[in-house]
Amino acid sequence: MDAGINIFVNGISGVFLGMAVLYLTMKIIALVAKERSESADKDAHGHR
Amino acid sequence: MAIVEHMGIFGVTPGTVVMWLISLTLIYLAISKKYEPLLLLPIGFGILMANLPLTHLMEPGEGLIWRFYHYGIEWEVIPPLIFLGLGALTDFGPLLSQPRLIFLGAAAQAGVYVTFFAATSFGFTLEEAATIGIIGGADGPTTIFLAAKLAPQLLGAVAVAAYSYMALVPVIQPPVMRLLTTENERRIRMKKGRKIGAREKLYFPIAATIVIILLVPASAPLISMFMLGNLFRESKVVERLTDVAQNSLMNIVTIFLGISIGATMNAENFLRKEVIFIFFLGLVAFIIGTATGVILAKIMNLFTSNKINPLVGGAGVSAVPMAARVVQRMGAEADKKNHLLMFAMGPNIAGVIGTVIAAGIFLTLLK
Repeated sequence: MDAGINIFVNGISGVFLGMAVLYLTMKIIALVAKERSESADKDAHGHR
Repeated sequence: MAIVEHMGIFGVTPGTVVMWLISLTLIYLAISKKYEPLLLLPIGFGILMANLPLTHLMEPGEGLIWRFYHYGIEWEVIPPLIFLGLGALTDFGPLLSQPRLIFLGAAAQAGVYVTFFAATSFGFTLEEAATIGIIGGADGPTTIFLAAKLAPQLLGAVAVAAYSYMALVPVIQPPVMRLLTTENERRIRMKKGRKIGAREKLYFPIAATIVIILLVPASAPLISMFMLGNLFRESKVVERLTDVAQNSLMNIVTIFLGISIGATMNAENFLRKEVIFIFFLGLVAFIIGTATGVILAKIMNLFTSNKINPLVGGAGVSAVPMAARVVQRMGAEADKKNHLLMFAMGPNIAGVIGTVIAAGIFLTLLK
């Protein structure tokens, strides 16, 4: 029973932890992608 | 006459006849009702093949289907290949445009763990309980992957339960979602997320592979293939590989997967009272997963002005894209102009990732 409770608690918290980290990853990717496309835009304007 | 002694007809037992009937029922449901036909048709036929006496098709070391099963499933080849195809078919755009919806995919995994706990109290071992619980993730390849590793004796039953319930999503989910939401909540129109660029979609599969596998290494076979398939798609430089992963490869492995799963279901393995419990608990897992997704969406609404239609939470149980379509239909019933499909695809895809993480955690703790 103890092992069952242990897996239950670890499982639910583990899934939420994983998803929370993935959430942060998505936020970081959004920032990086935005910065990259802004600098690409600037470069394009600079070359004109 | 010696030939008479070797005729299969003398090996027929009441159990094999029952299995033929189950096989024919699945074939009927696949063809006439179109319930998950890609899987239920080969599974149904696999059951028939395995329950014809004296064929030795599942004889370890020599049977034809045993070879499919051994090299395809026991060697963990087929489920990851299916994930490669699923990745190539998946658009992460809806999730990337509204990252907060990922938590709805996590909430739906509560069904997996609550059912796991319930199964242990029914007397199943921890490994068997984990295999039964994962049915609630509504993800066939993950269920098969975990069952083959933890409780191969339950493989046929859990696979059929998972695919049957996935086919029955439009029947199982709506009453639960209706019960937990008001008419006004079902009418909520969600604000469009931002537009997602190609660069962001390209970064995601690489970053997600690193992050998830660093956290749950046991999920690597499935998650890495899933993300590789998606990288094929988003890179736009390997269209031939994307096409193969999405179509021919996926179709080929689906044939071997279906036959092998069906062939594990012989009368001895399948006609046991535990199988009834497995089907019952699988249904419970599905219902709880749907409910917890909806409930979390309602809780999130308490803290935000940018409201989430709680129906979207129901799509957190993978079953892509069926669960998202159910959300769309129910939203449209409450308000004809409410289009929830793209919003529901976010938690739907998150549900796939969540189920893989859940399976990885089971493997880490039980293997």
